[in-house]
Amino acid sequence: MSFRVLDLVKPFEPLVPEVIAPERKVSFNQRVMWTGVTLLIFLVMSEIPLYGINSSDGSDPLIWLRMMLASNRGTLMELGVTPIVTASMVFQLLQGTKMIHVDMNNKQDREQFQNAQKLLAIMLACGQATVYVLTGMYGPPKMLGLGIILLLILQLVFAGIIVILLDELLQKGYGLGSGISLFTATNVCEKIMWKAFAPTTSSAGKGAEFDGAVIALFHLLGSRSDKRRAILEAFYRQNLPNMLQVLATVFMFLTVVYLQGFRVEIPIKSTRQRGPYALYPIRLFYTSNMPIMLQSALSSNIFIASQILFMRWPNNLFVKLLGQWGQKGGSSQLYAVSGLAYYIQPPLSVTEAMLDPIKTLIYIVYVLGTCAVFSTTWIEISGTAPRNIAKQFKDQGLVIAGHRDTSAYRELKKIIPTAAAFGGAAIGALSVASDLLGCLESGTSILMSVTTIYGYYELAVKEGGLSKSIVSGYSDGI
Amino acid sequence: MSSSAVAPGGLRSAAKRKNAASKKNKEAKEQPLSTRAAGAGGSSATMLKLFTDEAQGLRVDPLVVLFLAVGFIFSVIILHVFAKVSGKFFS
Repeated sequence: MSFRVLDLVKPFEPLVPEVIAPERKVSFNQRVMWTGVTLLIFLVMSEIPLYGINSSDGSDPLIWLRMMLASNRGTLMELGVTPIVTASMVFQLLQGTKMIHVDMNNKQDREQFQNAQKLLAIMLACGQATVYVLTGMYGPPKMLGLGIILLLILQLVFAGIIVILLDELLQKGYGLGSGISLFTATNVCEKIMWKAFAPTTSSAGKGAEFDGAVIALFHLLGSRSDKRRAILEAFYRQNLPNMLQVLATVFMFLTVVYLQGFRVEIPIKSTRQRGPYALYPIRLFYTSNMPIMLQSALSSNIFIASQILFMRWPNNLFVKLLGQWGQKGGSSQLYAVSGLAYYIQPPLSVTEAMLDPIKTLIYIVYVLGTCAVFSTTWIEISGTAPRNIAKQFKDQGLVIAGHRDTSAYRELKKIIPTAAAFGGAAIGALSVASDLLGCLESGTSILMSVTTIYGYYELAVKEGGLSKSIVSGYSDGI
Repeated sequence: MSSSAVAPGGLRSAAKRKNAASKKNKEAKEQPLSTRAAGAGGSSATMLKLFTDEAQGLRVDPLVVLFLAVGFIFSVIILHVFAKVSGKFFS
């Protein structure tokens, strides 16, 4: 008997909570219901403020990660899906680099693997909650008092565990798909809807104005006597969301959905059974939203590191080269003003992009390049490289119609890497475009939410939940 | 003389043994009944391999998870209300 790293989790196995898997396939309507209820709980939790926090003003050091991790500042969802994502990333890395050996065909191995993941996620939630509270994110720890500190940590950890369980519930077959992407997409959609329809008002000199772009349009049209000026103001106001941004967002949504449909279809046939050809689609967005997620994770980590270093050593030459930070437009939020971080930070508007064309150029090249590289690397890691697909074909006894058995790999190798690299660059370009157009949310978040919703829609079609497919000629994918 | 009519071994018990072995093998390789096993997991289907099978842990019914979550939400709200009320009356 050998002793493996995964065996270390064995003593904790009875303690790890786990949702019972459904005994038979859950019907489509029930799955929609479970998804809805879970989402509702998540949304309510991301609106309720934590008990006992003193202040959550001041610059938010993690603002770049909030969007990706579905977290909301000062609420129960402060941690969002961070623990789950981090734990699974770590384990995927360990498994991908063969540091731990897991036989995915062995049930016991899979169980241990998932238990280890969950344990790490819970531990990460505890650790993160402690760090957040003790570093004074909600006010100095001395002012909070021991009782409140413990209560805060307890709230955060419990919320973290609930999110882990909710995600597991969705994934085990009660829900439609992954909980993580659903939570992230919902968070983005919520922010977009809020910016378009916010009923709150803010007054800056000229009297009270509605924050929501659409509401402001009607209010300005109704209350101002000069209608032309009113429309101009509703479309071009700089301080608050305007109608132009709403239109840009709608336009981006439509463009992304249109581009999602682009695919190369390879006719395949089975060698085991005679029959008609089937089609194997390879999409333009072969790696879906993965490249943009990795790219934005990279950027946000650089931003966070640079910000922390700049706070600590503002006069160091190296730190200055990495990025200098300053406030902008009266708010307490910090933005990079020079250094490396400035060049990879998206321009905030078209005017800003015009004012510093070199920065804009570097930014565009950086985003397109990293997205393409990440996309081509990701197909190797995720097991969707031509080699893997060719092996899958061979195992299932499929050949490309009109070719010999052996040439499947050669054909796939012509298409897949090109699709991955070009698709990565395309999705990067879309992100840059939506940033420059000034969409309501950042380009990355819009792309992520659209691709997630589209994925869910495809899933619903595949599961037979919708009476008929809207996309004509939809054929079953991978 | 042995009491059993059928001699041990032979074709029948070989078939039985084979059946049992194949059943055991199948159980060990059993795939989970979930969306991810069906090859779908939202948009980034290939991204994260998360908990999808049954383990011998503390097993919880999905409804219990929902009640737990709702209970937690209410307890935090009650804490807030309590703080508000006590702040109004006792200070």
